[in-house]
This record gives sequence, C-alpha cells and structure tokens, in this order.
Amino acid sequence: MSVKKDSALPSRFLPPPPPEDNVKRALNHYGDVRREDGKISRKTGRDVQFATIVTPEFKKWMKEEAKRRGKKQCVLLEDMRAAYLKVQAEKVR
Amino acid sequence: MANVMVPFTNGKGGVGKTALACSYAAARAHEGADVILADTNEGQQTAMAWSAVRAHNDILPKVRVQPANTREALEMVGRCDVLVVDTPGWNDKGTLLLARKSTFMVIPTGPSPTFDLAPTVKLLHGLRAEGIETWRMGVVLSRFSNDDKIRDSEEELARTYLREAGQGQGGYTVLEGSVRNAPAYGAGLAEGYGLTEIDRGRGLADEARGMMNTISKGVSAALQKLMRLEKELGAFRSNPGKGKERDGGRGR
Repeated sequence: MSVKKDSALPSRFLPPPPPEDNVKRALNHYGDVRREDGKISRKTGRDVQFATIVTPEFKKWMKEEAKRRGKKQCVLLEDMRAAYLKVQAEKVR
Repeated sequence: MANVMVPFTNGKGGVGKTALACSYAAARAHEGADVILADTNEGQQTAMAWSAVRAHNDILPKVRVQPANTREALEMVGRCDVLVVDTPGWNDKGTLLLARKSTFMVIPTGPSPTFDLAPTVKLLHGLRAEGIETWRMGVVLSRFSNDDKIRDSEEELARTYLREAGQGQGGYTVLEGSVRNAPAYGAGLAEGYGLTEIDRGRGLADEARGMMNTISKGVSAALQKLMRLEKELGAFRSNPGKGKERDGGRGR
C-alpha cells in the first residue's frame, strides 16, 4: 500500500483503506442471512398453521393493515400480541 | 413519537457496541420513550445478560430486551418508539438489511488505526457502496483512553484518519466527543447500569449523557431528513401529470 504524501496522519500509520478496497467483501462475510421474503421463515420458528373463523371485515382489515404497513399478517398478529401484553402489564401496574 | 430504529454495529468486536446500545436504550427509557432493545447477537446474547442483571439489581427504568435474528429485529419496527439493535461482532448481509431500514446507524470504533479504524472504514466504504447515505451513519469514538491527555491525542488521530477516509466519499459523520474506557464504566455495566447511570464522582455520567444526546441529535436529524424525502416522494407519486408528459401519455 502506498502512503499518500499529503496525508496529515503520522507517517508511522498506514493511510485509511481506499473505497475500492474490500467493497465487495465488507458485507459478505459469514454467508447468507435470513431473507425478508420469508423463504426460510422456518428458521424463525414460525412453522405452525394458525387458522380460525373470523368475519369478512376482520379478514379484510388484517389484509389491508398488513399491506399498508408492509408486513406479513403473522407479523401484524405478533405486533398486536405485543401491544396487548403491554396494555395488560400496564393494567397490572 | 415517531418510530425509529437505531442499530449499533461494527464488524470489529470489542468496540463497545453492546455497552453503547444498552446505555442508549436506558437513556431513552429515562426520557419516557417506549424502547425495545433487540439483541441480535444470538451466540452471546450479551444485551440479554445485561438486562437480566439489571432486573436482578432492580434498576429502573426497566428496559425491554428481546433476543432476535436480523429479520425478527426488522419486524419489531413499529412496536415501540425507539428500537435499538445490538449486533454481533461481524458484518454480513444482515448488517446491510439493518442499514437499509434504520433511521440512523451508530458505528462505534476504538482508537487504533490498524485494529479499529481500518475495519471501520472498510465497513463505511461498503455501506456507502451499497447506497446507504452517509448522513444515516454516525461513527462514535468509543473505548478511548481514560487519561485525558492521551484521549485527546487519540481523538485527534482518529478524526484525522476518518476525515481522510471520507475524502471523495462526501465525508463520514463522526459524532462529537468520545467515550472513555473507564474502569467504573465496566464495573457499572456488569451490574446492569447504563453509562449515563454510572457516576462514581468523576462526572462520568455527564460525559456519557453528552454522548447519548449527540446520538439522539443524529437520530432526530436523520429522521427529519427521511420524513422530508418521503414527503417529496409522496408528492412526486401523487402528481401523475408529470409522468404522462414524460412518456407522452402512453403509460408504461
């Protein structure tokens, strides 16, 4: 690595890595991770079917709300669970 | 309060990611914000351990810490005012996913040009190359010397290094101040306190509070910019006339 002459850093240190160095590798270590599209959703532990009978309005609301928030319906359900538990905890307090 | 996500990340281990993430979560909880700290370090779960010892010592306010992988952490957005994410000591595509969805990414770094700053610069370059705006990333100088004189020179060197690294890249944001590697911080964190809650007669809590405020300012500024961009994008999308003019009204 060449040392830039106009560098304000003490000469005993190497200059910072240039942008073209390591760009491809910096974020690719340790393989792939879970994708957002749910292709390997079983790794999240969500591998159980959950079916119930609801009103058409409820189903429509769930679908539209999830779409509006850009989330899957199971995630919206988990959000609702978190909110419910929070309210219950506040009531206990 | 808007929902913000603030990951603390750096592929370099031992730079104070967990200490800062836990402390930031505790500091925001003190302000009354609804905070969740997602611990994505599945192997070590150090933030979980901090939370357990905090509960054990009845330290208030309670901070909700949840184990999560990257995807689960991303799904937590919207469940609270502030989602703080503590990440493991490596970079992967999860780092990029978090960066894309985050409001402001905090990147702690140690003082050594060879062992801390060079890997940090590589991460910054990598994120920049992936399209992450530099105003959505803030480097925090962390674990600098406890001796004031040495700390000043370390800080100057680190700022020079990062300034040179950012030349031609639009400049990288380095937050004001630095966090010292004080033994009292280590002892306090091990007992479940955040850095702002550790004051053993040396003004350490005030120093830490200053850093947490600086991070909060970075988050607020990034949030405002993001909201402005979203508004502009919304206005652009809701004006179909312009599109028709461009393609002669034929549609796509």
